[in-house]
Amino acid sequence: MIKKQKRVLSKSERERRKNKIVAFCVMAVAAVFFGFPFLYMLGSSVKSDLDLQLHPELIFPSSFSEWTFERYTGFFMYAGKIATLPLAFLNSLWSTAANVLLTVALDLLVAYAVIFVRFKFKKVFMKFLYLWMAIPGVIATAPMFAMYATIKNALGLHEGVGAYLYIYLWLIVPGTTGIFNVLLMRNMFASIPMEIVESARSDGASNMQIFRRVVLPLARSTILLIVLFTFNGSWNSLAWPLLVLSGESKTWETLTLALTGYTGSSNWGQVGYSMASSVFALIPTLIVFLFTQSKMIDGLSSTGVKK
Amino acid sequence: MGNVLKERKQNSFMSLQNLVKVYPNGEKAVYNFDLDIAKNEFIVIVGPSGCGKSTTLRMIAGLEDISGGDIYLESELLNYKPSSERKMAIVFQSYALYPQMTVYNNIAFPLTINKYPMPKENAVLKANAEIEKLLSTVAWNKFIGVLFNVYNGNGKAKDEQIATIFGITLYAAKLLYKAFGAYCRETLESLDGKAEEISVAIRAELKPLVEAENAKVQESGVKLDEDFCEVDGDGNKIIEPRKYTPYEIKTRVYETAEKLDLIPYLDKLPKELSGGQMQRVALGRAIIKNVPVFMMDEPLSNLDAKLRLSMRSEIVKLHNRIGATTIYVTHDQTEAMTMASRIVVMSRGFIQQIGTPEEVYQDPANIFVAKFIGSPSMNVFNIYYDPESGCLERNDVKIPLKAEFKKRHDEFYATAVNKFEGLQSNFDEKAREEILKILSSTGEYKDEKKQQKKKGLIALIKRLIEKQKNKKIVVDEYAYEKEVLGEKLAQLKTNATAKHGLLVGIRPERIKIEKVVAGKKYKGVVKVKSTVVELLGGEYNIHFDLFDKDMVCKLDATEKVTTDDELAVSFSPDDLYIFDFVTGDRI
Repeated sequence: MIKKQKRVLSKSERERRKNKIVAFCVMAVAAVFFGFPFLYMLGSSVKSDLDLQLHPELIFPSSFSEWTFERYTGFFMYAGKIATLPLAFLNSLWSTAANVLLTVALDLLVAYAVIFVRFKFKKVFMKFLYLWMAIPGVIATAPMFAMYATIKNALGLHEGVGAYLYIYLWLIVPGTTGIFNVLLMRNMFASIPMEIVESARSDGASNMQIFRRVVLPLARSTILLIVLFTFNGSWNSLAWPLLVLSGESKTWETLTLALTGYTGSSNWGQVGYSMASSVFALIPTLIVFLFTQSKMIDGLSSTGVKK
Repeated sequence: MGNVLKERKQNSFMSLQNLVKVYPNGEKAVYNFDLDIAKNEFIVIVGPSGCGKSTTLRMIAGLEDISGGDIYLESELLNYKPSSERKMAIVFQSYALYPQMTVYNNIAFPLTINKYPMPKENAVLKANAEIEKLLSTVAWNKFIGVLFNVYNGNGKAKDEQIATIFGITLYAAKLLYKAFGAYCRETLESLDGKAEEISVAIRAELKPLVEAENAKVQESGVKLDEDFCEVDGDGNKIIEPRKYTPYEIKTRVYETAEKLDLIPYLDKLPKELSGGQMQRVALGRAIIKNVPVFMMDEPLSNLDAKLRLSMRSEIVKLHNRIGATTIYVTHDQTEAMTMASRIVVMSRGFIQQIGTPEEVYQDPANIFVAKFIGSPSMNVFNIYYDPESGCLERNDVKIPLKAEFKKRHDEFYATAVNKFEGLQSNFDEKAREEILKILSSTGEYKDEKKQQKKKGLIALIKRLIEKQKNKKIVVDEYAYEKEVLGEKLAQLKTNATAKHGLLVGIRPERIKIEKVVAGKKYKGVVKVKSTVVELLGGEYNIHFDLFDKDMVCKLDATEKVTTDDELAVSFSPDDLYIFDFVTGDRI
């Protein structure tokens, strides 16, 4: 029988192994740290009222009989009526989708123009964009709200579909002007070798054709990255919708706004419902993340083009 | 002047007249590039990096604005045409393949983008004629065998298969395929006997279509010629731009890929290919455009040495086969010598010489060309010329020159002095360029002269204040060039009469060299010691010091030579190239 000999590790191997172990430990702690609230949310959403009161220290229900899913059905139907939460969910969904689409379209066009189209005052334009990035968004809140309110009053949009669309216009459009995304896209385009575009141009391609057939496919990972960023930003945004939607109908609220309804002191008994709703709120983010995460590293580190 | 240009424009295939490129920051990259190109010529523009060769190419191709001058192709002014309408194809150094597309799509790209002028054909009538011709000329069993095999065979796009095999249009193939459909279930043997029946059936299928089309044609009053193309009143085909159909693109791509041995790689992405294959794809993309002029911007410099060698001949072969006119830019003089039918040597934005490889090598116009062309490059050394004895001398070496040299020498300096005095008396922009050109060939050009403007707001304000202060004082913007001109003129004047220095060059292979054998007597040789010996296989490159310069010569590797061997060097005065060091020109 061959005796298994224990191989002596070289110094560099030992070093590598040590690094791996340390990295693993750190990651494990971080994972628990970040994962725990989610786990607690998931567990609490299926606890019965009794368990919520008696065992807040447990992640999952204390016994099999304490499991309940009525919170999840309660998301749709509450006290025999259709709840407002699904509507808020839909509001959030469509406004976020519109936001993402607009942002990506705008970023692509601006970046293409800045890199591949010659126009006057290009440098000034770029400097303006950088400057824009230096201004914290919070500063713009008050003037923006003043504009929003003044125009709303002037147009007399106080109820009905018009008012709803007007409010959502103000929720969607300001969100599309993130300069960081434009710069991300610009840098990606700048990494495309100029010869590729020149060659296409000499083959007779118009700007639109170059954009659609040459540049766009190369920008895919960056687009996905921007989708992820914008989606999260828009889906999570609270301050601005809170301001714009205050005093409006409950059915017009976005999901984040609706979820704040559970945070008041009078609502603390609804922990289960708030947890279940949060799980629902998480689903779209998870889906988007699943679709984009594989490309995210790509989009961040790069270029995708070998020079 | 105008008439001369006009004539040139009409006579040559492509005419580049006084092209000038000035960059927005005021830097001049190309001065007066003037060249006429005949059809099927292989022009190589060669020069060190930064000499403006790529800029020239990009101007011709329309990727860069032209600051001055005209470009004519087949008597057509191209200056203001966009790159896509210039009937040229470009191959870039970095290949510029579209990374997300397969090789097939890369090659097909130009065809899918553009509309191309093509004669207007009547598809139905043409298809009818083609099928008629097939039925009457192709042997029946072969005809039916092909149809039967394609019909019952594997693979998609059966109509395309039929079209390829019979060499007919896709529309005709579709009709044939449809008409044959009723018989596909039978066996090949039974079909063999039904020649009459099937051909009648096919014709019956076609008949109503053809009749309807004929009626339509007659009604619209369009005239057709024997190829079923629409013609105008004079019998000329009506040319209309249209896009290629997918089938046409497919056949063209396969044709091109076959020429370049790319068929096995059509489904691959560029990143899966080797450098040579990528370059072939780039060539394919240029060829498929079917244009008269090819532009290549250092296409081989990203390849390894061996591949470069084979691609070199590949490109020349391709050039000859498709009968194109090629403009090729490179910094490698070997490529220029081996590929070109004519070489344009450039330096610092100026054309130094235009000529066939032999001319440029045997008869260099100035010191720059002499040094640049040839590998190993020409040995150049300083030597004194004594007009009285008519000899070149240095230390104890004396080289007698022919009597006619003295005459040539005196004439050269007389005209040079004349020219320089003319420049000095009337110094303008043209004279300045003349001076810059001379500097570009002698290699004395000073970059420090141009001070970079400091960037930033404070520097700008300082400059403005400075300007305001100096408003009264007139600054001579030609100061530097005038100073150079003065120096050169003084030098030329003394050179014309007194004993003076010259630059003398000799090609490495013209130096006669042998190993010194003890006891043997040598006459008319200089004894030197080898400093570096490079064995190239069949021959040596031997370096030695002579006249304080490192010189190279070639020697057949029949006997072993090592460092520090004593060598006897001699050369014939006829093989010397003599240059004036003031102007850089050959005497």
